Amino acid sequence: MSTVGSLVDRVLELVRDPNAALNSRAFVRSILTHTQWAVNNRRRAFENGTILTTKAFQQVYLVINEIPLGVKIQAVRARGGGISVSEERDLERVSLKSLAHIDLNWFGKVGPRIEVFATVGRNILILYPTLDSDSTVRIISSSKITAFSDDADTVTLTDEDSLPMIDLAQIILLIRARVTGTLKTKIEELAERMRKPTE
Amino acid sequence: MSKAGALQFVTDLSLGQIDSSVSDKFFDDVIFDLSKDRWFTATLDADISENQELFSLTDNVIGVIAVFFDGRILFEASERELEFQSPHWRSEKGLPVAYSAENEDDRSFRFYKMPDFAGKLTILHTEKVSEIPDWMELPVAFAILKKEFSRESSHQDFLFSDLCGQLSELLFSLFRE
Repeated sequence: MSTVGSLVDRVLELVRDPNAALNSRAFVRSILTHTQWAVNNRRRAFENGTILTTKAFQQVYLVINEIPLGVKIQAVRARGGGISVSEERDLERVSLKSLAHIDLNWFGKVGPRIEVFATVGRNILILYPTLDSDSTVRIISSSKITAFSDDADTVTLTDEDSLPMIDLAQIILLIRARVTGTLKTKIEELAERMRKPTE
Repeated sequence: MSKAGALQFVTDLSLGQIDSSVSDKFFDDVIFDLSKDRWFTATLDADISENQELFSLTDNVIGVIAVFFDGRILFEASERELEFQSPHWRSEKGLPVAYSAENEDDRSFRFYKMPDFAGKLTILHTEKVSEIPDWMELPVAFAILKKEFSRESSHQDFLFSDLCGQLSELLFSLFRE
């Protein structure tokens, strides 16, 4: 595990500002905090599990307040219907449009167990079908890792995942310094690299 | 939640080369665009009375995603489609199956058919917000910088503006995927 200070040093070296004359260490830490959130959301290295109590006959939930540290809903799990009652199973993710293909009268449909979920934007979670009694589901969301506040803080992401974090921070500081030479290509290359799944 | 955080990034990343009153306006524009793109969504529930023809949207609604009346989806229809269905569609009463926003003011829509019983309306919509989550500060800041440096001003810089736009898109894609 690296310390935040070593990451800040690396970024400052890459932008040829080793003495932090143009970019203060606090500013670089703040940029790294944000690039860490972006990379973690893409890589799904750290996730939160939050229990949502579902109400009988309610199908649409505003979940933003349920996951204050979550960035995006990645999965929803429900109990029941597996090998044992306590076993959790992943609900299938579908789009809002697809719900109508599954069942034209999906809204308000009651069933024996929840089968699929859909999200509308970040805030709305739809469960199909709904149940006739209260229950719970577990919402899995990419986690908003604690912000870096000090050089002595430990970086939670692995060294491999720290690399795109550093690359992003470097690009941001070069844009800030108007060293624009090859940045367009660098951004395109990084976007391509981030699209590839991790091994 | 921090609008202030995004605007601080705008100042820091531009090395103070911006007009803060303009940035504030661009913040609203960027948030409006993000809302249209479904980054901010919410639900609206309302009780509809018997024979209610129109429904007025609240001020925080930007666009309607889906409308449900008593557990049924209402389809959006044009006036032409409804007139084809029935020339007297405006006055027909029964179970609502569609809604039309054409020829109403831009914050209202009309039920087809006009409900002949009281019911519950649920609307999924994109929402106008004034604050953003803190993880959104950086991509929003770059979206503002894109607008700020492409407008006619003493600091206009198209290359910088393009790079800021490209980076904003990359950051948003990392949060969206």
